[in-house]
Amino acid sequence: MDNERLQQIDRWAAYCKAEPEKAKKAVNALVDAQIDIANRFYERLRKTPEGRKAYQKLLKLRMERSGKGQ
Amino acid sequence: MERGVRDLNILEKFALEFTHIVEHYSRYIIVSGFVAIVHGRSRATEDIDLILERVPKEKFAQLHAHLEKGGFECIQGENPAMLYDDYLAQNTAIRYIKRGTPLPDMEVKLAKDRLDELQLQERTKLPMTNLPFWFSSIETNIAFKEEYLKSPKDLEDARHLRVVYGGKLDKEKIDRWKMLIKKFRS
Repeated sequence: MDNERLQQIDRWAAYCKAEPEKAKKAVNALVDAQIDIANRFYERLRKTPEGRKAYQKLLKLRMERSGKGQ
Repeated sequence: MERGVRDLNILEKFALEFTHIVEHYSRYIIVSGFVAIVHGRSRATEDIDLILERVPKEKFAQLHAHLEKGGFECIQGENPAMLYDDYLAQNTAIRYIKRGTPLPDMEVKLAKDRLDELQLQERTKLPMTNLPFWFSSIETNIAFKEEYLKSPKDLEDARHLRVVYGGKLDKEKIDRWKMLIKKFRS
């Protein structure tokens, strides 16, 4: 990790500690937007036969990642 | 005081519905990225990692049926015996989504070794989050991220948690967990 990135991580974490409610609102907006955008994309993707195939491949990729964590 | 449902983000609402069902059948812990995100870490994720006690097949079948009734579906299949024998019993995770909604998903696995059992024994609620879930301890999450997972994303999660918890962290516990991880997972 480069130094600037580390400093940004530290700055944001310190903000979370000092202003937990404000930080929480910002994170909620990010999390909700990310998931909403992805789900809307998948909905459009599944409207065509090729898209449904691509969607199945994406699901398979997700399954292959299973169990590689903690 | 726990947060009202209106204050929760999509991931938290999903976890709340899922764990309400799970806790009828087994102890559980939520681990890894979600732990960092509920402490303010601003990053994206597609899934939440959940470890269950090593429940027998029959009990898992009951849990699976309850999850299906609650609107969840497993993306690996519907048959609980197959899911147990081909995945969970082989220490491979399965993933549940809300029916028809690809994201987020709950990645579910059974406790597979002494480390997972210990995490379940030491499970804790994390008051700083105002959330009702059972988590593995912050120290354990930091140890796994720094000693085992080690991706840039995981190292950043660990750094974030270290800053947020500051002087409240039990550093000896982090070191003990790192030694256990070396012993059992290396």
